[in-house]
Amino acid sequence: MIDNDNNENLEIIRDFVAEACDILDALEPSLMQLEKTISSGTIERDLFHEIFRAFHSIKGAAGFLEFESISKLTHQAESLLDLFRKGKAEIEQRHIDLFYQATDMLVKLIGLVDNQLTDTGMEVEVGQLAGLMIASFPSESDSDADEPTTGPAEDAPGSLAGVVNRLASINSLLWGIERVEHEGRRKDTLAEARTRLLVVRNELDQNGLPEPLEVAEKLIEQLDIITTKGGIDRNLIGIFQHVVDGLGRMLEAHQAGKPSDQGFLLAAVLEELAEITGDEGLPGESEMLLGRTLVNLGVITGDNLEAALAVQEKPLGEILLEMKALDQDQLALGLKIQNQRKKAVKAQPKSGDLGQTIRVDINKLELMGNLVGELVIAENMVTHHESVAGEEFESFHKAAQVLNRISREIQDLVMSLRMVPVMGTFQKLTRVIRDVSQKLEKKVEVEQRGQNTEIDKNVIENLSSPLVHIVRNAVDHGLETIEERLAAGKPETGHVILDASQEGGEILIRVTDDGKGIDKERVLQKATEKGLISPGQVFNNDEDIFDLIFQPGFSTAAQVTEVSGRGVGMDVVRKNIQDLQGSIGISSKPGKGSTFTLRIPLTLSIIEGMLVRVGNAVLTVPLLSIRESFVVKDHVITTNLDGEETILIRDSLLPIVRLSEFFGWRAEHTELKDGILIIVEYGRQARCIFVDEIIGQRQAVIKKVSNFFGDLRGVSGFSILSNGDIALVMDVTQLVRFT
Amino acid sequence: MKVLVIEDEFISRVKLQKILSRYGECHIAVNGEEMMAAFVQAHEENEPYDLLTVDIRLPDITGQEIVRRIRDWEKSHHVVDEDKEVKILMVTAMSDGKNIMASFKEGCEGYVVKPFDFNKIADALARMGIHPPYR
Repeated sequence: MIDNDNNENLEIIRDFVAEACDILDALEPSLMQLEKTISSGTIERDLFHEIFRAFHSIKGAAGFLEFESISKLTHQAESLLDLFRKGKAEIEQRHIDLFYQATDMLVKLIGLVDNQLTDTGMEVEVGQLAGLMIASFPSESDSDADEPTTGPAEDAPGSLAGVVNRLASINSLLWGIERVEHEGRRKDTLAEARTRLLVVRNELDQNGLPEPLEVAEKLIEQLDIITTKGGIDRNLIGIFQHVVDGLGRMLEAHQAGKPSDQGFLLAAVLEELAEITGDEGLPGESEMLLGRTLVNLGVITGDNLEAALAVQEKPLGEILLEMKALDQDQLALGLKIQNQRKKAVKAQPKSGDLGQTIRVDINKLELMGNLVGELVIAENMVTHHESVAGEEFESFHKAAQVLNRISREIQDLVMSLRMVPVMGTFQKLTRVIRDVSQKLEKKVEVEQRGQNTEIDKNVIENLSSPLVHIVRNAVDHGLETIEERLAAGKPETGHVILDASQEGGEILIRVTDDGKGIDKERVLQKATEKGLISPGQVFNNDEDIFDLIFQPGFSTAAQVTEVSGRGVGMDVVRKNIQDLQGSIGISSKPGKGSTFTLRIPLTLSIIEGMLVRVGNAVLTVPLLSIRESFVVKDHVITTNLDGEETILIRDSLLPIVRLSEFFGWRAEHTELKDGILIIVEYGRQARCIFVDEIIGQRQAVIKKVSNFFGDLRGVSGFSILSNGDIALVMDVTQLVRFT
Repeated sequence: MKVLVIEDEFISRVKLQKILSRYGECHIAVNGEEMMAAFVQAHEENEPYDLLTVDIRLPDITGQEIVRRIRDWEKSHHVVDEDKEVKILMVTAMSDGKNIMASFKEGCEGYVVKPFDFNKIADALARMGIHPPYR
């Protein structure tokens, strides 16, 4: 028994959650690959083994920890897969959809375990899905039930496998039936079980197997008695299930051509069962009798039974009805998207050849990152200490250099520890696209590029939801319907490209679709309607127009759709990305498609900075934003009527921003020729900032600005200097925006 | 039913043998080498084992490694297709999450933490779908 309050078990459960998450993460690409292979008709058996193993591992561990819902779901998935991997049945698209659903539900269940240490609370959903899986067993088609003339003579053993599966499905049906409160539902379930047993009986009759036939007939008889009795005894059902199991084993033995003593055993058990059901005594008595019988039989102990009986709150009759509608739907949709996924999956590496890894608490990494930050500060303090400043100690500088090199190496290493490839996120996005396109009946092909690009784990977690939003928008608003595409002379399958790459200290993520593009006029019209811009406002370029989409309360969809929602998202998307010190931009061509470009800094905590001085204040300018620095000589500088200065550099006019004015400080120099100009850029925009002096290049550990400072314009954080002073870290994004 | 007990420690081995004899014919191995030889031989004689109980701490090999080798062997010899995969129950003193999860990941079906008695083993086996024969 597992006592979940126990600390040791807590650790086991935590390990289970982590392990299960890993397994489920790896499962998704395998399923995609499977989906791709069935549409191309070249199924690799190994893939089935891999997926089977994944469910099997979770099932085993969940069983050990007594997570019944997880066990039940994985058990059904496993049984279904077992048929396919042994080549007993052909997999179809609807099965793949079920496996996807099972994976999703397992993720939720694991989430429950993570939060509350049990997997209870979703029994109805789990029961439904398990029911769907049982019902999808390939031999379970309705035509079988209507025409008991199945089991062609030349393929008798093959049809026996079908009977065995059907028997298993009967047992699954009866799981937890005694806990169903509603009597009508209970009767439905029993009636369903009876129908299936009848089919089994007929099939056995067809195959000319007298002994199993007899058992099946007796089972029907007993089931009728159980049904008429009304109240259902768990032990009774337990015995019934045991006989059903036994019949299955008997048939398997027969199929393998082995003699079996099951018939004799079953006859004995059935007799016991008949004795109990025939006994009109008190239920308590019957239970006592059963307990004794079970011990005598040595087949099941009470505990075993409890473990074996899972909860199924909802009768399958209802589920089946629901399932029929769902199934047709899924099948139709499934066929539609079947061919599109080939390319998307092609790029995905086979899972399973991962190197050796250990799992580390993220908090430890966090702490380590902070400590390395402190180390860098401490190192700066020593190597730039005032008592050595300006002195020429050769050996000291050598030693300082060694220290510097090592601390940088450590820093890189710590940084890389936190890096994860974007592959996982892209996988999720591909899945989102799959679901959305299915819902909208659009055909979409996804291409992933640069999925091995690595991003800080924190960053990627915060990127996930904005990206999901962008991708949904791309499929929903960007891509046209099949008819529209054909009318526009495009291939009916839309194309979405997910692209990640590293550029300098930034990660670029692009989501490109080949849809209809963004309609400028509509954006302007909408923005005017919403009062975001004044009518007739002139924009210099398309990018500024598209930028309006990120304004709060903007939506371009003529109809609000289920998929993309009410347009509350894009402003949040931008905010999320800005929180990561990143930026987002759109480019779009009518009829050709749109590209959303996200720029995210590689790391958030340590940057290479240029230390500059303005009056008494010291400021760190991120080195990545700096294009060049120079002293004014014979440059052309013009001042407009508002007193705004611009400088002409290589044929382009750049506004000059005096940092002293921007921040309201007193500067040492007021003449441009006395100080230094630095060109900083953000995105496509550049500014020329004017400072008194450049102190030098330093690594700066950025400390976040505390909330009580409010909104500090142009400052993204603070860094500590070697002498203990504080330098502001300049936020080039805001500088560009506010000037 | 044929059972192979892999256990190097004497008392546990005897206890397991006694319990599992109620399920069927019970053989023993005390290390990985013996185990593998017995397992392969049983297959060659076309009477493969139905159940393996595996200790994790063994003189020459870990229990998880045993499970992996068994599963690999079964896969490469197409045992899977014939539906004759052996069921594997870990019986070990290791009660930490890492050992447990690693075992299930390699493909065992059940796990029992020592000390054990008949009921504990029977419960675990029942969960794996193995019941003592009807008498």
